Amino acid sequence: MGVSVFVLLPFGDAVRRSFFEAMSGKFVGLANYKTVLQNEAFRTAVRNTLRFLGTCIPLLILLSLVLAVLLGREKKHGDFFKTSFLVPMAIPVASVVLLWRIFFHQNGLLNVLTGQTVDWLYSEGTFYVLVFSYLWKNAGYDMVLWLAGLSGISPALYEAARVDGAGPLQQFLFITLPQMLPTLFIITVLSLLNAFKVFREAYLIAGDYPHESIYMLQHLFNNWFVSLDIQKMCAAAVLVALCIFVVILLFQKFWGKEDTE
Amino acid sequence: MKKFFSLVLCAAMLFTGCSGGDKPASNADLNIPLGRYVEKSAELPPLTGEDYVLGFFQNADDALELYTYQESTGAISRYIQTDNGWDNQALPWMDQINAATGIYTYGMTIQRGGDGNLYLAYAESENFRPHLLKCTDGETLEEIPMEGWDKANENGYYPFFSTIAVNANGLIAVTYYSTVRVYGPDGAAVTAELPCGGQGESVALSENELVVTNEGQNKLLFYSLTTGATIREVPYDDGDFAPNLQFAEDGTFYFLGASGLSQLVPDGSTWETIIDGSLTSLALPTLYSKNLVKAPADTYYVLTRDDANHYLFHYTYDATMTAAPTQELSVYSLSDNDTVRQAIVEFQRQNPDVKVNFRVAMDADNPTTLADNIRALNTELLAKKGADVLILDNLPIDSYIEKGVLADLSDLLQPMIADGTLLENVIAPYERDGSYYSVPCRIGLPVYLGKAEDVARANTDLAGLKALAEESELPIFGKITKKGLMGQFVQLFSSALIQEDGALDQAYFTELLETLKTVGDQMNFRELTNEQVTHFSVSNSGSGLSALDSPNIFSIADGESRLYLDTAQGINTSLWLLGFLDQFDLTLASAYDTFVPQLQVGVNSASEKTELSKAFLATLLSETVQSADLYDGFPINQNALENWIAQEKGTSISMTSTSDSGIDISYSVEWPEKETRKQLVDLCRTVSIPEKTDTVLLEMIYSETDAFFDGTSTVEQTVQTVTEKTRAYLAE
Repeated sequence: MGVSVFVLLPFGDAVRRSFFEAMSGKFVGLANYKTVLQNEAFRTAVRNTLRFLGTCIPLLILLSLVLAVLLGREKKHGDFFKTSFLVPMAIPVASVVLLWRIFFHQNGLLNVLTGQTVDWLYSEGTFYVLVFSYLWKNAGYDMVLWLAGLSGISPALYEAARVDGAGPLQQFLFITLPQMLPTLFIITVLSLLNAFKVFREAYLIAGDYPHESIYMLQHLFNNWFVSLDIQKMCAAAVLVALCIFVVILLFQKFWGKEDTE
Repeated sequence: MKKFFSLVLCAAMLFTGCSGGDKPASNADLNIPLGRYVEKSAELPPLTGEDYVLGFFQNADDALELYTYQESTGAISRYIQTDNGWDNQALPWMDQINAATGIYTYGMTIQRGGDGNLYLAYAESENFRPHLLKCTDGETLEEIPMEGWDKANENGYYPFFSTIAVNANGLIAVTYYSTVRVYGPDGAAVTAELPCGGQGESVALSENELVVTNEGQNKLLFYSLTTGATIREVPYDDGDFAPNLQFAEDGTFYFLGASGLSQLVPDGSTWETIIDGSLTSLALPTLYSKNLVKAPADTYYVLTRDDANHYLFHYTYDATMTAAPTQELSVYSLSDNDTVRQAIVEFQRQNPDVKVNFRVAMDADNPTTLADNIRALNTELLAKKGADVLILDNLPIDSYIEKGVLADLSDLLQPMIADGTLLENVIAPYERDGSYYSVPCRIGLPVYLGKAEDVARANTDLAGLKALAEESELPIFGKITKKGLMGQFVQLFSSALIQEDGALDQAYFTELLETLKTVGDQMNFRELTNEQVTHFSVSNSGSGLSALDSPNIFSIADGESRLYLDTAQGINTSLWLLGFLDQFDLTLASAYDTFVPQLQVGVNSASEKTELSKAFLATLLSETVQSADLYDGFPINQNALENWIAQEKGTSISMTSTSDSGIDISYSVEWPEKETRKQLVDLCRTVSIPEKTDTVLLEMIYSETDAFFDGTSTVEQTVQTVTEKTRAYLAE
């Protein structure tokens, strides 16, 4: 009931509004979708968002997997490292932004240490600052998910493999990875959804109109709401939701098929 | 069973929670309370803007008594209200005062004390030594030797009083700049100096208590006369920096300010609002210096003034009028505006059954961002709610028009344009397919000041300005910040910089940058943080320096620049501009025929009170409201413009400017002659190009200023950077 009232009903309203003019309520069919797809700002935002997702998600998955595997072997100080990697998730976004400003500002610590004068918060480098921020914040969370998945693999399999002469790499490739596919699916989906949350940092650092490289879909939606372009916002939101839905279905089809096999 | 009850509960929560509530019953069904104080204008003696009120009170015969000082003649006058109007009745002691020399009459105050005697306080004009005189018989004045008033401090200054109050026991409260002290009838101090706020213009004295405002002007401080200790502090939120405070004979305390008249009974803690200021002229931002008299039969008189006139309002209780207006009109604005408040008072006066609710989204108490406030407003508009009248400054006007948020104002504006009431040149740019959806109710006027040939060349186009800069040995403008120079020109040419398709005109922007580079290379830029350009003393702050981002006008007077460019907002704030026009034989011209649209207003098309909203807009555009100079731009009402031209004042200001060569030069200007005023005001009738007011876009454009002027970024690079920066915004 809660999901219906607070999620499905509003989304249904957004779908409805995407076929009408913003204020007059006049039915316009697919005109809003056509306008959105032809809009330069939308294309830029989609391009940037895809670039961000394409860069961050594989990096995050890989990084968190490596951390999980290393941490899995660390018996002595495992808990300490686990907590340390999770701390970034607990820090409020506003505090994180302050930290990034101190570090990445034109007169910030990074430039002082490296002797450069790059404005990391408004240049091509801003994209990499955002990627770093995303990885820093979410690596610990994904690492914990990997650890949970790793702990679900029976040690007997590894023993049997060792007896058969399999080395660590072979064990990883033929036992660990296949067993971790369901976890990979969950982590990928969660990382995909978390990737959209990086808008908070981007917005607090650079405002409504950041450097072009980090101008994301949420910036566009935010600005369209300010200018009362609700019809375009709803049409774009429906398109984005559809795309994400399709992607998740594809993930489930591939990994679900392999899982069944 | 459990599932069934859960479903029922959910359905109940869902549908009752979603209901819009009961529709309000019609007025006929409501038991509306009756009775309210209504305001009427009362007759005054013939006073002008050069008359100053020295005292206003009720005398022993319950008649109103008024003392004024006429600046041009230097004489004090006394008027008594009779059944036939006001009689000018001088008293013998007045001859003595009028004949005396060396009196700073402007600062004099005349009060009727609670003991029934007349008290007159004044300072000497030469050294401002104060004196307090008492008159008990209407004929002779007797000086009270006030403690400490005969001694100057180490700097040679005597105590400078603001006002006095005297209670029934003859105790005298005197306020100074930030302190108040009570003296006995013999002039000996009864209390120490106690802190008070403002400039000590508000004080009330009863048998036991002294009341003043505090430093922050948000609390009333009640002091005990016996101990001098603070008995209590009562917060208030009025906005009037000098509210009138009084004790009645029965000990009731009265507070008169912009919020109205409130009373506090003796030992009471609950304020009772007698007159709601928001429904009367008391809320007019142009009015100041309010004097209250509680007359017999529980009526009240308030004497107040604006820059040009004095007003006497009489408040009487009307038992047949509704206690509160039955209709409400809402007005929304992102920021406060005095002209809107002026219009609200005027509108409510014409429509006593309508209350205008003015909602200001961004103020000191509500530190939210512009975007957040716009989002909140858009949420209301989307739900077909929102205020009836929208002040559109900093709102996405084009989007609102495109979406049909704003109602068509043609039926209101076209007749006013046709009969010449409004400036057609200002309103014409806002026509869209024969309709008008918004109108600027005030305009700013970008002007050039300089020698005729310089103004003519610079004012043609960018090429003319560039050529002038290349040939000139003198800097074109006086000291200005880089952002200021870029900002002024980007705004001036904002209409030309943005193409029809919304893209930045790169060629035009390149030309603008090259021109500004030429202009900037031969001038010194002002550094905001470290530089002190002038030190000054102002004898009458009728106007001040423009913002630091504007050029320094004194450089043209010092002969250190060729031109002055700024946006004039009225005559009162352009005294230097107009003064130098005459003094140095300069020329004044509108800069590139542009104007800055200000106080843009629209009516919400979803409003159920469209006609009432348009009536409010008509009030905003009326001669009465537009004639008030509230320092927020020129009027667009033709008659108001004429009134501005006709207004005479005795204002004069002076300043000492330190030139670049380190020489101090003193300047002074007076209220300009009528022909000079006409020169400036007539420019409003010629301008035709509205500057764009898109602050987001303009900020993006001139944020690249520093690198460009420093030479670290070329013109091409700057254009490229700005184009990239604005691409997403313009493409949205």
